[in-house]
Amino acid sequence: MSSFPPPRDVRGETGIGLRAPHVAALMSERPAVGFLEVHSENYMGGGAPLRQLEAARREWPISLHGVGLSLGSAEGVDARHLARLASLAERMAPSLVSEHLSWSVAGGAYLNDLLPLPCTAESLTVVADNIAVTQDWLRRPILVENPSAYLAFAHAEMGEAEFLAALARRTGCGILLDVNNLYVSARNLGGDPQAYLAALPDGAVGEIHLAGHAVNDVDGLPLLIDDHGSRVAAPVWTLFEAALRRWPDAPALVEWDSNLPPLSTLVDEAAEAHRRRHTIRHEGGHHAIAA
Amino acid sequence: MPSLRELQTDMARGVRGLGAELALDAMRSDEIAAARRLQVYRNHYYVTLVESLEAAFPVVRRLVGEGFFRQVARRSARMRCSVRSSTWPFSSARAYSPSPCLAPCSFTTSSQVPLRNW
Repeated sequence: MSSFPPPRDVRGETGIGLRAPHVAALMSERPAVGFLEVHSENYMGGGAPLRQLEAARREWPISLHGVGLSLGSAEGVDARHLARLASLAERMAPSLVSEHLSWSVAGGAYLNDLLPLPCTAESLTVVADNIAVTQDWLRRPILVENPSAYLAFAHAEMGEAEFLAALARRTGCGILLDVNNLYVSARNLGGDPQAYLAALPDGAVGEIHLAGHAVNDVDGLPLLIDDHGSRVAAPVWTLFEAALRRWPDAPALVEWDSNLPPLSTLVDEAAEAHRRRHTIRHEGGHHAIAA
Repeated sequence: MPSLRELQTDMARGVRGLGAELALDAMRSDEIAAARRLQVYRNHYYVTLVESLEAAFPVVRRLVGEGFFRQVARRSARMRCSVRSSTWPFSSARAYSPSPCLAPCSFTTSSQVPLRNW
């Protein structure tokens, strides 16, 4: 049972990813951000990190963003991991709970990455079943994030956007649209990000992620890496604005996980996202009112 | 075409550098070969696990030196895979078998549910 008040609606808000090196600055500076997002796994062990999260929860709404549930695993989701996530969610009363369209467990072994799966009918059934189990256990819907991709499968039967749309229709889950991942995947594998956005259903996007990426060289060819280690790139801001025109009230979250800057830099990025949302709302004389 | 389970089992081997012929055959190759693309995931796997071990065993790392520590860590990561989604994959001497994975239930499988408006 949670000792916190019911989770606050964060639609229309802009938040930042909370990382351990920023906790002290966060609690002393108390920046004006709409919510905080954390990696769920970092708090499943309890102790000091959990106490810090609870202190933050008293001031800001929290979003739990998992990386280890492995929704794409053919062998199903791990019962103990799901129990730990459910316990954390019950304790923290988060505004949002999310995971990834990916897998990290095979043969009982855990690989610490978000690995790709082919968008086939078989995969759709597997992921939908895993989402259903998860939502049933958590007693709430979750958001599922589009991953950054570095390889594609020749036997894919549908595009990723169509796959996510089908998942949303089948399970009632929402979509966490990571526009940096969308851009990285499109550059790495080809594809039209605008067509991707058009293929997602109205009302299905429950959050938007923003982050930076790096450009690596592979045998003389560029390969973008979703390293969350820099400011949001200009083309990603453009995709963000396109997404806001479709889903104007989707909460936005700025991620930064490597090459960590001062907290103020992260807060600046969030303010930029908020400013662009404000501009979108008022463009063309339309005055959309946030829910 | 391989089943999803077969593909994932083979890809897991490929990520650890143990060979992934079946998975590579299923991947699309273009200007960048499938094997090079899989290497992105392999690099991330080793880098993050070695970083986790360095954080878990700072004293050992200082005693044996960074070069030797990394060599042993990589070898360990190749041969032994973590069984839990933790940031301390090898730091526990206890080995435990993975908890049973939940079988898919019929929560919402066959019928279309109303699309929740987020």
